[in-house]
Amino acid sequence: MENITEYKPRRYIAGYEILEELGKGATSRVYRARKEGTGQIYALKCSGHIERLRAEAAVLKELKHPCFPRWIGDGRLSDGAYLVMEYIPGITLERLMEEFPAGMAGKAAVGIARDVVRGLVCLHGSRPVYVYRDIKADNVMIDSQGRARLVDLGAVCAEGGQAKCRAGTYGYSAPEQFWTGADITPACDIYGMGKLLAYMLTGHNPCKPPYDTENYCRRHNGIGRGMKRLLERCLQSDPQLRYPDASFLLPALSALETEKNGFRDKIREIIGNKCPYRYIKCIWRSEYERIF
Amino acid sequence: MSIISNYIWEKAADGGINPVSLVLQQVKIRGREIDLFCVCDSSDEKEASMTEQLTEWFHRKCLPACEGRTAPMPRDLLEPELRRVCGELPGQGAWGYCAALLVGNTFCLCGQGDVSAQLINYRYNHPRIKRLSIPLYGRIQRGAGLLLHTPELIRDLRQEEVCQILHGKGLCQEEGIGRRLREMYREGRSRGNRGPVGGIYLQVL
Repeated sequence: MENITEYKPRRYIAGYEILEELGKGATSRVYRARKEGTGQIYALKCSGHIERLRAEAAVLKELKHPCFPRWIGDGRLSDGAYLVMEYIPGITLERLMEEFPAGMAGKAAVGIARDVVRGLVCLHGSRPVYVYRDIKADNVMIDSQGRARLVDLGAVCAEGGQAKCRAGTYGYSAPEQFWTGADITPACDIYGMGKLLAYMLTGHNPCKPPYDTENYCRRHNGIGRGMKRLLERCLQSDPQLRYPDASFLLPALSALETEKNGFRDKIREIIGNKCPYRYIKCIWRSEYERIF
Repeated sequence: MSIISNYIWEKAADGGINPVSLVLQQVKIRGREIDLFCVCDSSDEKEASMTEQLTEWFHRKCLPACEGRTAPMPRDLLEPELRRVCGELPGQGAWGYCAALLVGNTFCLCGQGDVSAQLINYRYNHPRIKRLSIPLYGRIQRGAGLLLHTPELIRDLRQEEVCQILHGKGLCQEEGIGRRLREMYREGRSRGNRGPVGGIYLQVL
């Protein structure tokens, strides 16, 4: 029988050959692309929202931090705009969490959280102050060296003014991100970080019901008291009661990592403060998820 | 007494959206197991909303109510909540659900529509299957199995065949239950069922 090879037309965007689709958002698509001539591999993001993509490109150009992908170039297309960034080979944290349905070890979770918070320190420390607004496991890439990096800066906005459009993910986003007229501050990212940390520790996805992460963490046996205190502060519904920005959260996380629980603390934890809940199973299966 | 459970959730043969939503929540408080299982089938996204609300209620209201020394009756907890949830759901399309709440060894089974529940138990070493009338309240015994399912899961199988599949070794582990459910699904597919399926099986050990 004749061997028939399927013919696939090659697709080019602005001199980049599209190899595969990496992800799809509400308004944009991200591809793995190869530059013509050099053969270098990059991530190429295309969107019909020209202004938003241009703003993202501007932020990325300004930021020089290993936590974020490097800006390579951007430009206009006939039906939108494109942005070329460094391609980060690896897996998303969401995918990694599939391997840890009951949550990962505290040390590993704190390590990943510290990498992400370092990036947020850079965002919150820039002038103007930027707020990431969409911290979630899907936006954290674990690269080949095991470092966590933040991708997709499409929701980033400057602090102070009310954001022109709502952005975020239900379950992760701070309550004030849902209110009209509320100021967007770095405390929004602290809330998202709390949710992300809780997800890593418990394996309970905040995007799925029950969305009750705060109580879930409080009742969870596997989370130490220091971490519970930190999570409680991150997950306050009043932004004033949270850590003001990532530069305050980072030392708290570092202190937690180096904290040595004394024997007495350990005993108190086992006997005095034992949580009565033991979660056996928490499954919710549906085709639809709540949309922000 | 402990309960192990697993589920099957498969799309139609031609893909598309599965209109079935499932909830399996199992929590132990001070040695007493509190479980919520629900299968909901609808055509207008109602099922996702219902199971989502039930899950939220379970964690926010039901579990705190079960923290005390004396366990409340599952009926007193589940029925008012189902009335509230069903009253608030939008849409006019046909739908059905079957929900079971277990507090220790007492249970409450509620539902409506064509989602049903089968009880598999052993009498004189012979497995028996019985379709349960809904609503139903009572105590569940060791060795019993409960199957909550959409009609497509067992439509093309005879009662004895379902019984045969859900009986025997391997049912004391979750993986074993999952395997049996998949076997049941494959058997149905081979006999012409093309629709989406959803089902939960729980075994009391």
